Amino acid sequence: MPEETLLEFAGVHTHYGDLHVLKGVDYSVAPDDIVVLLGGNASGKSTTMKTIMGTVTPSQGEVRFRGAPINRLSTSERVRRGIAPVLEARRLFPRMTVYENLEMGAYTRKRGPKFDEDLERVYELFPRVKERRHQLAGTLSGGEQQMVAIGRALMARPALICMDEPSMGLSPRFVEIVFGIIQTINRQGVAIFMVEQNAHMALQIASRGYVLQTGRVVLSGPAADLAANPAIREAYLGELQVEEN
Amino acid sequence: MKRLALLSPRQRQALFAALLMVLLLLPFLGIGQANIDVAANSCAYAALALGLNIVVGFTGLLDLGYAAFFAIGAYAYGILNSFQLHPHWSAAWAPLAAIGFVAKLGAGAAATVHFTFPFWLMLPASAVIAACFGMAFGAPTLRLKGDYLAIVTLGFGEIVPIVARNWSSLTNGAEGLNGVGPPVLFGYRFGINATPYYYVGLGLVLLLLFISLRLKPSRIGRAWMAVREDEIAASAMGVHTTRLKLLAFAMGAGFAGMTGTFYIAKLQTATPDMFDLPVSIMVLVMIVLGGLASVWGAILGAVLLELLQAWFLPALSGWVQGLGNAIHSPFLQNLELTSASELIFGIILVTMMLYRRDGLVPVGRNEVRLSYEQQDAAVSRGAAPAVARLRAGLAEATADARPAALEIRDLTVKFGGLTALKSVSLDVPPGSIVAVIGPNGSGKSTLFNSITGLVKPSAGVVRFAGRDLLGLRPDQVLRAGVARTFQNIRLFPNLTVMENVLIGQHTHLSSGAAGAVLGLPRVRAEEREAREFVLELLAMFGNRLVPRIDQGVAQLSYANRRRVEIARALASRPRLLMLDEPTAGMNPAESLELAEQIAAFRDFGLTVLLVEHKLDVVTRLADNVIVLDHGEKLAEGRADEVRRNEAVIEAYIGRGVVDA
Repeated sequence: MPEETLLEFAGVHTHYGDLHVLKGVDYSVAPDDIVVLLGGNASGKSTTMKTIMGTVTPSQGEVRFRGAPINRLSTSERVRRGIAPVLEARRLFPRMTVYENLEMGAYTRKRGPKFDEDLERVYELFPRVKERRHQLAGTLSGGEQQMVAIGRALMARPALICMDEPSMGLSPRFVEIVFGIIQTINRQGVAIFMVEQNAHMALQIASRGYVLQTGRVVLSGPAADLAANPAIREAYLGELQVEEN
Repeated sequence: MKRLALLSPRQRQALFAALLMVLLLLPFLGIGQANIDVAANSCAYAALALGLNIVVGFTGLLDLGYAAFFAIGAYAYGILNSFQLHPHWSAAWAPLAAIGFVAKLGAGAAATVHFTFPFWLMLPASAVIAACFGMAFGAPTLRLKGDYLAIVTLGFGEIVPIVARNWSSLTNGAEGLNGVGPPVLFGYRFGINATPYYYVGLGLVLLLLFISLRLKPSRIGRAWMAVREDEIAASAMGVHTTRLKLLAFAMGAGFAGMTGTFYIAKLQTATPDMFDLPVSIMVLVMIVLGGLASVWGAILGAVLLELLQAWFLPALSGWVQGLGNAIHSPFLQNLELTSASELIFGIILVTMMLYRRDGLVPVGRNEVRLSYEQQDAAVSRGAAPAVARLRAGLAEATADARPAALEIRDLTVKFGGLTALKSVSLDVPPGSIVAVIGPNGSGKSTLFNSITGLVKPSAGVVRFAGRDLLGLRPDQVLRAGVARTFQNIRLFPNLTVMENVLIGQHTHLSSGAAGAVLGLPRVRAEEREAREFVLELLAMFGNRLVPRIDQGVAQLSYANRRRVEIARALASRPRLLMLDEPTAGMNPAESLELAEQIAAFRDFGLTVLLVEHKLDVVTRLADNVIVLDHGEKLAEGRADEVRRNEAVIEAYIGRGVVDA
């Protein structure tokens, strides 16, 4: 079977009013990929995420999911088709319990045995989440909230999870846990597309990467190649690793 | 409207002068008494809208009972210049009679007092009276937020007309006050001619417009908007939020009180139903229509709604009835659209919210278009030159520039049954950087919040520069020289970079509302210096923020928002800077750049307390590291020692690399 493409951007441009953000980008994500998007601030990373989820509509170009154009689809329709977001800063429903947050993740699907199955799967991945299922989400620590956010995305039984900075604000140990879980989820057959500032860790688990600069893809390729690229080392990894003095 | 903003200041002045000429000549254009009366009423509504705009638009306090203050101003004048009160005459009234505030009616034992307090005195006096009521209503209620405050204001908006309806001896109940005296100017007694009232109304609007325009970009106006945008951040930047909210409430009430006096003098009667809930709602609709917080918008909204009611609906009714006559439709012939005015307001409001949420004159934010070079800020190393300039600025500004120490002893914080911090002690020696690390939920942010007065510890001591900080409000902590940033960034999202950083200087500026309105030279000089200081602060970050200085901060990238927050904290000229995860959302190269800048702060005498997850940054910066876990101190020491500590690795750092 030929390598099929799950998510594809073909020459996508986006505008906010007069502001031209994405300037003709192409991405492709295969069903077993972990793709990381690197880039400085204001390079268009968040806009890419919004374009995938449908809160920003391309002014030109096409976004395809499983081969079908999805430019005009609403966010909820995209979730129904198998794209689930893990938003920047988590965005849980703070005054709902953890369990209710997970329930909301499965909002687009019918309730049934599959729901319980998925819930079990989430609890298995995150025993901590199971312990806290009756607690209000807003009272959890940052790391626990991130687990609930990922769990909530899984409840939609997605083919692709989009993550905006999953490691932000997490302790080093939690960062490791979260990246480990991302790998596990990926092995269970979910593609991951993530924006991450912790380029070092992200490139370790990713299969491929793109580097975005002021709205254009300036570099792309297998993650290992990117990690070895001197320009990347300089801009995103470099200086902290080079021993000075 | 967008084009209006593009005009140069000179063109705008010319436009305003031309408009003013037309307004001044309006009564001579042969438009008839009825229309001049409409224009005078428009003035009254515009004045009300300007006042409510201060409360709702600037300060963000949803007030649904604003007409209460309109009523208070109205009755204050109505009672003191009518036949409503008529106590028996006694010699004690003679002094007041001598200056014309009362008159003696009748003679002998049957003589009574007739109150004739002059309009021109009552105009400012009503403002003061209404402002006092504003404070009295506000003081117990302003602690409430959002919806709760709205419900309470709804309550006193109801109470005032009910009191007016039932306190017949004072207000003549539902029948209302009659025979309220008209203004008298140099012997000329205003009668029923609308023209002189129109001029008084126009003058009133111009005065209130002037006050609003002067206050908005002042220290007070900025503090109001800071309260609206984020009350916690405002108090952490030294804004005494309760006082400023009261000031806004009093000011808004004062505008309404003045307008009430004007309106009643014009009508020469006052009944309670003139101040019922629909009036409050209508004024609110005016400012929403015009654009919340937009001064010109408030006036435009008021004028449009009044004209809609007075001109457009009757005219439309006429056309529809004419059409009905032409096509012999009894339904159209009898359609009276003026009685459906509220329905039509409703339709307008819904349409506005759907298509132009920011109102007719939105409070514009410049969308600055940046060149490629400006957008693509290079990672800069060595913040030294900019920081050196900053040091000079800070040393000048801080009375006591010597580094100071933070001392925490046995700090315990409990939330209900949960102990968030358990007897934590730590020292931040003068001029050093101490980092607090620990798992998520270990109490780091709680530590920050208890130092800065956002959380009340149940036991312990927090001392900075020899002064006890516990029990102080956040704004008092800032005045004591402690400034902070927040883990989740709490900027004022709808304000510009410049405005955000200016608010950081709130406690170092002294101009009050009066100085700003009068435009005193001292106030202008202070404002100019404050703006220059902002530029100096932002220069520290190279070209990352300076080109974006007039942009709303909501449009900035996450990392740039963090930088603005640090600049805002520095603007308060602190001696202790507390940074909560300053490099979150920055890539390693950017984190390093910021780390260098933070090191430079220490080098010129700032004491720094830091919460940070990036161990490279911590290792590079911290003179001492404190590890918290489950609210207790797990370890303390130099960064390299702590990183080797078994307990710390277990709880926080983690062992392996991700299996790849």
